[in-house]
Amino acid sequence: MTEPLLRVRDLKTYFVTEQGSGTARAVDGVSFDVYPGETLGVVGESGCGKTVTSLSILRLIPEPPGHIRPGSFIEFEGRNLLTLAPKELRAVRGNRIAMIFQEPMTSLNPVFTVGHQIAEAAIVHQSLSRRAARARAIEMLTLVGIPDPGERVDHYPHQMSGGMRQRVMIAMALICHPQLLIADEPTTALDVTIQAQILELLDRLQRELGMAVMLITHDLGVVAGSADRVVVMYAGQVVEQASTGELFARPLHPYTEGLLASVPRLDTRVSQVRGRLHSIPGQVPAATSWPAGCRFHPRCPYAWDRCAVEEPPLLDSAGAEAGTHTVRCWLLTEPERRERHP
Amino acid sequence: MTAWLVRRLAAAIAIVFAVVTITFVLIHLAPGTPFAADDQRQVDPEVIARLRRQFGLDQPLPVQYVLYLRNLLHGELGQSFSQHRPVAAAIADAIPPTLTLAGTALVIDFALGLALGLYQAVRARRFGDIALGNVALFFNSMPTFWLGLILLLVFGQWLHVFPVGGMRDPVLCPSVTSARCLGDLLWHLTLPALTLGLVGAAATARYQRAAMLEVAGQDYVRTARAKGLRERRVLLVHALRNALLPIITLFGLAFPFLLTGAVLVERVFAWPGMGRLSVTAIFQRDYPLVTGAALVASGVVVLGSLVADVLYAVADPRIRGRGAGP
Repeated sequence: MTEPLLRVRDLKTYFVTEQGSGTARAVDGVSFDVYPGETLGVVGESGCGKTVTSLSILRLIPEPPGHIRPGSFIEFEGRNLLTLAPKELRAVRGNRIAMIFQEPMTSLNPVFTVGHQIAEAAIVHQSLSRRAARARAIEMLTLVGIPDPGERVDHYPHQMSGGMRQRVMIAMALICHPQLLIADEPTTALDVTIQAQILELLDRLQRELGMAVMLITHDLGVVAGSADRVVVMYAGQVVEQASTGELFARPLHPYTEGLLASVPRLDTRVSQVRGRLHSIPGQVPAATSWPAGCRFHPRCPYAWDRCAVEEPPLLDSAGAEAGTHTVRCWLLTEPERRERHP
Repeated sequence: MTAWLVRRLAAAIAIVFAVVTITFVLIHLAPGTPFAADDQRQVDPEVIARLRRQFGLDQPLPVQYVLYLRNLLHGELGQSFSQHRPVAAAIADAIPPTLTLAGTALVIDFALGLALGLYQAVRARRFGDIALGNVALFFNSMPTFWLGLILLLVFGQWLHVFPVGGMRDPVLCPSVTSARCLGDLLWHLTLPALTLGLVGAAATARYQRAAMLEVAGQDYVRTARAKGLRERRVLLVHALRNALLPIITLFGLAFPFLLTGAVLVERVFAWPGMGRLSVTAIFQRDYPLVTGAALVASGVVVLGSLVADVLYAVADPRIRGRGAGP
């Protein structure tokens, strides 16, 4: 297997809460790899630590109140991003690793033209002249499918729709041809039809530019359509990790199972869903007080006494090659308990 | 944009007109008259009656008002009772000193206020920020005239570093003619300009800090960082450009503050400007001079907010695009 492009090991990003009510362990020991050219989907409910994980990679967590704990390790192109000097870090940001955000409405600076904002990274990283960078910005606008790029380059963000602004964000992120694009819920704020267009655009650009994409989403439909591999997060941890096909065919963590069961499907017989869509009971606990033992056990239909006491490690699935499908669940050691459940 | 400007100008004229009317009525309703006998002087009632006739004070108030407006339309501000010369001439003499004082104070206000506010925002919640925040609160809470008196007492009376009043040395420099006299003017200017400027800068710094902190948490600032820009560029270009927008409003509001503040500060420092002129005119019941001064002051205030609105439209493309003012 090829070397991973990005290796995240035991990432812990904590926040000191305002009222001093404790430390929020938003990301608590997350490890995963991103391989060159692949799309890695990162899924989970709101509050499970997806966004904090992605921001931690480029060290965009506001400090204070946040901080990345010592012992965390994020390797990219052979260097630990967490120990880079500010100058070296800047050379990675927007150049080797780029990022697009959830809210295209607020992620663009309202007082600068989109052309200026797109060109900025090229001026900083590739030392292009203003004129050359502007020409590159127009090229990028063409690439992301914005009509009349020569005119649009001088427009301000407020003159554009949400979908167009997200295209501008993508143009801005890709102008330096990064090796890795981190897309944090890039379609959540958009209409469904626009969502599909943006995802298609990302797919096409990934193929054309040969970059890896880390796609963060709470939408399993998005993952199924775009991702090669999936990391499922819950309560600041990775709970399951597998290739997309494997995950959808054989979800092993009860949380993943619940997530898949809560996706509406056309081909499910009505008798099976009993007329209602499945939902996982309860909600993600507060990051200041994760449950002891397995963090999912208060919401888990299979939980038994061991789950409340002992925290499960990431275990290899029996049917798969080591490391290709890992699950953080005691059920893997006692699979018969799953059968006994009604 | 043009239609908007025309609308704004029409509103400005209406405001100035309203201020003139209110001032005219109020000062005439105030007890006391310009020509009256007092404890020191005995004046023949015949003389008083003649003076009142001469200046039209024997007419009913509405008639006086109409006459005043008619003269105003012809650019006539009338004759000052106390100064024995046209109101326009008295005001023309008082404007340059006030502009000098208010202009210098404005520069101190914004140069110091913006720099301190920016520094505080960058060091938010650390020692420097908290210390400066308390100093700013102190100056912000201080009435200008009282700060002026304290500065006078310390630097003028006790330390003899600065003069205790006036705008220039009456013997050596009756008017600014040489570099030495310019120095003399600056020497006289220091304390009153600092008084006004420091109090203004305290408020500006507090606004600037808040605006900068608000903007620093915005998504587009994170975007700028994610692009790999230097922290200096992130803060001074991406954040500051947006944080300056609310400051423009403050700039518009600074005009009236400097004018009203200047009234008291000019009085304290015996500065021969509009403020001192207005106060003296009010005490003398010099009706035309009071109304004339109010006319000029309201004109400046209205102009200030008009300038702020135009600046706003220039600085914020969202407003420019819509072609309308806030």
